[in-house]
Amino acid sequence: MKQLMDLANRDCLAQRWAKGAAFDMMLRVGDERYCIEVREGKVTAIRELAQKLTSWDFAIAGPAAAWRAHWAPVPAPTFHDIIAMRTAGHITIEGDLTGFFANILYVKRLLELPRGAGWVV
Amino acid sequence: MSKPEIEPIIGRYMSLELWGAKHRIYWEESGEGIPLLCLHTAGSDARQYRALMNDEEITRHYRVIAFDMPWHGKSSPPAGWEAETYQLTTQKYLELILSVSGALELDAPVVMGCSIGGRIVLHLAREHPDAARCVIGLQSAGMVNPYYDIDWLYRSDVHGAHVCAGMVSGLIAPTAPNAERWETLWHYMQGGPGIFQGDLHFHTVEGDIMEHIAEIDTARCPIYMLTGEYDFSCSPEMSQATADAIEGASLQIMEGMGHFPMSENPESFKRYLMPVLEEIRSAS
Repeated sequence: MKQLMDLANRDCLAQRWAKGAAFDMMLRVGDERYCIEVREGKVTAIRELAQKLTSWDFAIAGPAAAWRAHWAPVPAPTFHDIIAMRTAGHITIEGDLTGFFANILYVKRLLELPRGAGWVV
Repeated sequence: MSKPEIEPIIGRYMSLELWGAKHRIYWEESGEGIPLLCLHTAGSDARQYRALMNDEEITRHYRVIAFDMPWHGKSSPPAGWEAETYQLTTQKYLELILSVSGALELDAPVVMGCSIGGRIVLHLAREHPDAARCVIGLQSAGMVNPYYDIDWLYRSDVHGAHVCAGMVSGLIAPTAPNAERWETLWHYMQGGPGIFQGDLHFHTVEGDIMEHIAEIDTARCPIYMLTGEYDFSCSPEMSQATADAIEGASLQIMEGMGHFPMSENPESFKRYLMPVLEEIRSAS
């Protein structure tokens, strides 16, 4: 997961749509939870979350199988996009969604980056 | 230096009394033959049909026409727009199509629409079956699954260009060529404030036709439907339920295609569109 910080901060497309982005996003992949901290358009920290109380702006959560399908080289219909996955019930997107919608192109790109990077979850 | 390529598409403006006001409507066209009147998706404009208008195999037999809806593309809003909230309704949309078709003196056009355009052609077939030779519904469904709050599309704290493009980006198939994907999104980034949301009023709030869908007489106005498999806004299942409710309607699911077949992947789209156009031409 730490690789995501490098991938995001080096990726031209992510950076194109990251202008001014600032949010804390909780990402849950199966049983593992992470807080991805974004400030001024860069991922500044990715923290593994324990069970202690933690706050974030919005949370995107789903079983490992859903993320595995999302990160397939050519994802199948309903797994190809996070809004598609949420609409089909594969994942949830919750919390204060202002930061999510304001940065939607960036968030989508961020969560697509493991595709093709050989991640196994 | 390579020679510049001049495309055959011609663009013009017309002044039109519409919705109780004077409007200036921009349209583009190319080709000769059976009029093929094309309707763009919500929040975008007629540039979506550029590839069709540049395709000689199509324009050899069809006069392909696409117009920017009022408040979209080069069709500026009417005087006084600054104090008005744009909101599309079924009857306004039908009036627009009939007015443009009449102004261009189109004789029994094929009317092809995508998304909201795919919905309105169902209304057209029901209410004005003699206004079209037939209709083609792309990403067409009689109902909608409102999967998000459309108020997010127009807010002071969310950039409209980002959110409009971001909300439709996932409707494009992952197999779409990158250049076409991003050109499709560029159109969304250029929409006026609140316009995509105003179009979706028709699509998500007001324009459900399922209660009256069985009244469509395909003997008077045949219906062809083409739906991309990656579209979750107008899903293959929704198109199938719509087609099942219309006696005589035909539906083809397009593999590797999303919500914007004519602009996200025109080459692949052509494989599905050409047989329909050939069938229409044979019957004409």
